[in-house]
Amino acid sequence: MKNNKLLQRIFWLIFLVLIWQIVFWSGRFSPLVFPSLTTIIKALAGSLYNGELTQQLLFSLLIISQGLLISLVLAIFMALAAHFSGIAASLIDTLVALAHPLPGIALMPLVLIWFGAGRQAILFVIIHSVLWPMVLNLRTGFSSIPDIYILVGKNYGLDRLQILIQIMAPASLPYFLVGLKIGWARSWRALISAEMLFGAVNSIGGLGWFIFQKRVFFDLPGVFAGIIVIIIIGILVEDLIFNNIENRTVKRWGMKS
Amino acid sequence: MIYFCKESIKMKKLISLSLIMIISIFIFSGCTAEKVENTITIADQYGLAYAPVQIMKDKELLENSTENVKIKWKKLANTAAIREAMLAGEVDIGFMAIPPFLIGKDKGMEWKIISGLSICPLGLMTYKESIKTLADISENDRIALPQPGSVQHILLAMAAKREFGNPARFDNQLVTMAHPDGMNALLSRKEITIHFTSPPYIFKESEEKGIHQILNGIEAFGGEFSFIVGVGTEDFYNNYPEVYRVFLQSLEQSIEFINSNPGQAARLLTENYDISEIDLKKYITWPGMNYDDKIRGLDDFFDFMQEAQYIGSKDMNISQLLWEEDLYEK
Amino acid sequence: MMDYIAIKNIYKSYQQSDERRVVLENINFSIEKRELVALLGPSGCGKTTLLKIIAGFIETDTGGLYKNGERLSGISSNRIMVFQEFKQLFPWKTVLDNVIFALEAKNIAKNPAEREEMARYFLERVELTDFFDYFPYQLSGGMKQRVALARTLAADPEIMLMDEPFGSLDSQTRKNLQDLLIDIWQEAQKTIIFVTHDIEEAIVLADRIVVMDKNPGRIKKIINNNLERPRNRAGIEFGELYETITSV
Repeated sequence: MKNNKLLQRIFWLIFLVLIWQIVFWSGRFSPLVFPSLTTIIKALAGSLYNGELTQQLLFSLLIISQGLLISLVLAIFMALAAHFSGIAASLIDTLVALAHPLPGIALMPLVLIWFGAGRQAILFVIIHSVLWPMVLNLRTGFSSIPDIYILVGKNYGLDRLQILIQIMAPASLPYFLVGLKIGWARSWRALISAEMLFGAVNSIGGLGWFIFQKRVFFDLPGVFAGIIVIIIIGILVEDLIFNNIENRTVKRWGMKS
Repeated sequence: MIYFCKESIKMKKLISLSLIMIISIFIFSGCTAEKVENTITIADQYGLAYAPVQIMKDKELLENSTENVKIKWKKLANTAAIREAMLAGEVDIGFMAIPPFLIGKDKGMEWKIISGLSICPLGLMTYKESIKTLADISENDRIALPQPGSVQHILLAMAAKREFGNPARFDNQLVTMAHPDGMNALLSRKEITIHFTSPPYIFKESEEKGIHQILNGIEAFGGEFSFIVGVGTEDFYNNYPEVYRVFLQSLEQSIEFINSNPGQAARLLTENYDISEIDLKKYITWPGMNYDDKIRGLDDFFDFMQEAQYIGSKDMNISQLLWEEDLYEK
Repeated sequence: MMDYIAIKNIYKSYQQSDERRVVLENINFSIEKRELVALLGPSGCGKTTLLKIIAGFIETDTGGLYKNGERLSGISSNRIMVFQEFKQLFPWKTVLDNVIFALEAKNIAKNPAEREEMARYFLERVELTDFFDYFPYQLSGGMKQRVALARTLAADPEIMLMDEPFGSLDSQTRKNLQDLLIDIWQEAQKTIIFVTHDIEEAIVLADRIVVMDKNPGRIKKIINNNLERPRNRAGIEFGELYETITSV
């Protein structure tokens, strides 16, 4: 069944690629608008080979992992504080209500003035787009832990920290993973847009910058090369990392609804 | 069971048929952005360098002297957007600096320059006392400018080549920012220490305490050059020779109007620029601010960009870059 | 001689809109070591509340729980509760790990290998030999309650508190588990307080039956059950005792 799904996906991919090439061959569009597959692949291979794209990709991945990690720690602290203190809960819920619906891009002008246009600014935008959905999901996760788990933990003599680590953490994992998935998707988008807007420091500005640069020098195959890398990373993270974690945890435990 | 199989074969046939339909529609129906007949779209950007275009629009100079042609005006955020709109056939005449025009030409855009528009004071501004010349710029300084390949970037590369023999000397210190963002970043006196800018931002920055100029555009280029030129597509030039003529006349008129009546021009412009009439008059008569339809500096830009490999090595003669050569100044 | 466990003068009430509702009133009884006492009564009589008070999950208004004359308060792993809910097991742990959890929590056994061996022993004791590596969601209700029983036994509490643990099971499974509980109780010599609303269950299991009534929750009568074990559910004496309890 799973194999079948993979085959179907490969089939449709080949199909789409073929359509692309047919449209190109038809000559209906100028190659400036609609480059052929070969030029796109050449551009992709070329910029991977000379290290340009690889370097930008590494920059993007590094900064997004940093952003995710910081948001994760912050979100856990905030959700815990809100879980254990009423005042913290009302403050944090208000913050989430204010900030969650706000697209990171809308903050760009402010971010430029506060943080300049460098790494910090991109990091800020990533954290903004991950933190709030993460806090929201962790809050739901903590509050939906059945009381009985906690009661059992107390009954067997666990202290607060042990209950936190041994019971609350695994019991809220399904929500945590949902938060992480939403956070990843949002931050990946935020990262690319921020990089396109903020530009580069030392010529290294990530994948978004790579695409922007290709755009201003009117290099469409290069733009496509960047887009292809973004798609591939997206698929790899979704299918390989997240699915794997889910299969090993919440799905195996029967905790995924 | 057999019945079921037949059904699924039918389904497959249906799917493939509809897919073939979709593809053929896509291929044969033509461009997504099909040009509306008898409409000419003109695109420019924000900034004082484009003032004659605004005058032309406000006084309806073009509309009044053409018949059977609809004129549409567009403001786009940057040169890349104008270039892409022209490629898609949505825009017929676009205003931009010479380097982005040359990059597009090099990649195969079917367009040429119609006329010049303005000569403007450009400047490399900094808040750091210690930076007096290009040589004082350290590796830790960050230079904000609109984008790689922009006229500001090329001018900086030209200056770097002249002073240090290396056009790419500052390339690792560039930060891409639109002019308003660049100005805010500079004025906040943080990471961005230098800003390569144009009017009106250059005027605002030079009036700010503690901000001074390291280099101006003329020094960087080694002479006077057209900051903004008007570019037309091949399609426009071939199909609307009448409009082409009228466009040139209208442009000349509005340039003439600004130069001879700066007070009136400022009153007219103040509605569209977020600047007071008094300031506007001061700005459009600022020394070095010249509205002029001559095309200046094309060769030097071309030669430099080719040598520094911003564009390819194939040579072009002047008739490949200009629709008509009347306004060309060697 | 002092009672092993004494429950003295327990009152418990809740504020409910405008009035205070008394859930437990003047609860007094004692429990001997290794005794199996049933708290029997209709729903709403406060029997579960009383059990939770004994577990330390709830505070009383007045009165309390004494062991050898000493006041007991708070939650303790010496009084462990088996709940009626099947989800008292941790879904992220295997059956074996759920039992090992109790051993780790009470720091029983020297090393992981020894703990695993002990956990296996307790699971075998509740007749769940083939399901060590299963996750709770893969088990039937009866199997889950067996695991909960094994986990409680592994924690080695002085008193086992059982809150209608077989209440959600079909009657055959319930009978099997009642028999198993008797076996285990006799072998492990634990003190057990067992809450039920099922008269037959109370007679099968208990040495003494505390019959409760509601509004307010109070003790009606404490009946000694001296029927010989194993008890015959179809026996005449069984029926007579059943009658006695119903008529209370």
